[in-house]
Amino acid sequence: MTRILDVARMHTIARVGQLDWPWGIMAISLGVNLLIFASVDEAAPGKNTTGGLLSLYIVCAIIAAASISQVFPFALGMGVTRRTFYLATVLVNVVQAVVYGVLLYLLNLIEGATGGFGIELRFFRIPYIDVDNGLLQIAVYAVPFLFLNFLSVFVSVWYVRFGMNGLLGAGAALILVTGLLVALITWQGWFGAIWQWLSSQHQISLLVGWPALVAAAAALGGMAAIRRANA
Amino acid sequence: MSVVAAAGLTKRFGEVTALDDVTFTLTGNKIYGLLGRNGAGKTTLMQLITGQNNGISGDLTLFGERPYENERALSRVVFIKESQTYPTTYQVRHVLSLARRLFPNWDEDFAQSLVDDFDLPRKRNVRKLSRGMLSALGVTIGLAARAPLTFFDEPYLGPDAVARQLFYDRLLADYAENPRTVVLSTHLIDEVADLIEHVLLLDRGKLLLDAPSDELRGEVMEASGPAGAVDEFAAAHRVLHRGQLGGAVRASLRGSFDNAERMRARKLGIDLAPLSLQQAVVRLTTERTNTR
Repeated sequence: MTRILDVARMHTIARVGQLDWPWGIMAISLGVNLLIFASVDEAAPGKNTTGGLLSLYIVCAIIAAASISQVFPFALGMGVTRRTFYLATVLVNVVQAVVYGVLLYLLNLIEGATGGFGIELRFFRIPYIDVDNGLLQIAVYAVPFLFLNFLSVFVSVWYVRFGMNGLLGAGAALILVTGLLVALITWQGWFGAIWQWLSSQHQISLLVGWPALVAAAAALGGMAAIRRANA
Repeated sequence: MSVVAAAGLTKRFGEVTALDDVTFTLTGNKIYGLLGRNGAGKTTLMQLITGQNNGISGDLTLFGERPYENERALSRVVFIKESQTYPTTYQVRHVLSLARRLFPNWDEDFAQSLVDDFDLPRKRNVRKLSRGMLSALGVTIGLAARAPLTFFDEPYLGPDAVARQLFYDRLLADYAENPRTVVLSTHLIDEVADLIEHVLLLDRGKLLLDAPSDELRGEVMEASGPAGAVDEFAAAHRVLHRGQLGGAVRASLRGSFDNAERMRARKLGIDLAPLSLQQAVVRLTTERTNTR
């Protein structure tokens, strides 16, 4: 366990990449949104929502991918096993998702208490993902990190293991399968049924349950792929 | 117990056979020279021993265990290579701080004194280091880790002569105080000839030589003199190389040169001199080309 923590430090030691960039970019996004919405005299009702928060998730996913392609060869060079490296990576991503979830929840509360920073902005309290229960709200913020980061980690591991041809080959296969699936669904007229199933799902299943399941599958897939990867 | 033992070790990359039926043993507390030309299989061998690669046939053990994904065995090894990459955001101090926790025998004072000796800027981004500084960072980790098995794969291509000498001096001094098994892989054979106690010579994936360096020095000689005399003398040995200029011949020979042999050479009017380690390696690895 100590060794996993020592290896986890490989991800966190250069704070500038892991912490400063994602939150810095999100802060800029928030600032720009504040300026824009403050300069609009009277936003139409319901039009004061922004998707600027997405920037935080995207930057984190990019960093997660880089953490594999850059830190993995270094870790291997320092005599760390693939297994230890991967467990440390999972640990960092899970802890980070929870901590960032809590931070976003606190910002959500601040936004609510200040009347949307005085201009009714909904940067953190985005409709549909804004839930009543505090713990649930943290999960709603945290799980998308896991979802995006583990998919991103999986793609990066795939690249390290199989190279550019492996990555593009998998991408081509994915496009082909998705295309065939869409064609099949269209041909059979299944879209109505799929839509019905989606709308019958509980909000929490869609926001937390299913993404968490996909994240877990991607995490396990990454573990299987990295065990035989060489830097 | 052996530090590393390989038996019939073979590694193929598709059609290419990088290592071909290699058998040897590394024992404790010795400085080995892993020599050979580019593409001879040196780096592949070190990668296999340090668990960076797998997919072998034959047998390979590190401290009695299989190295691949073996935490316990790998934590006793440090592998410093010229081609090591670092994450773009790392500074020198980050690398050292991580290494301190990863290597159980790490000596922090020694590491800091090496950083000072090599003038390494602690707060500089690793990607902005010059080639020489990058090598110095690797050498610092390799020495301060004090791992029971230490590999240096071409660690000093970057540094200038002064820094290289500093490396040799520090390596020897620290080795004397903290004996361990060191494997130096390099092209600069003459520079390290005095350090190396045992030579492993790879050529096109095959282990051509596995011998103490003293023995090798006595085994490979150059005989020069009149053509007839040299050829008569050479008949009792393996001719690695023969060059003729007019009536004079220079021949690189491999064999046993005891006192009787040396007397015979003198009587024939032949000048017999040992080849340097580098010349011996060159002659041994080019033998095939010459005799073809």
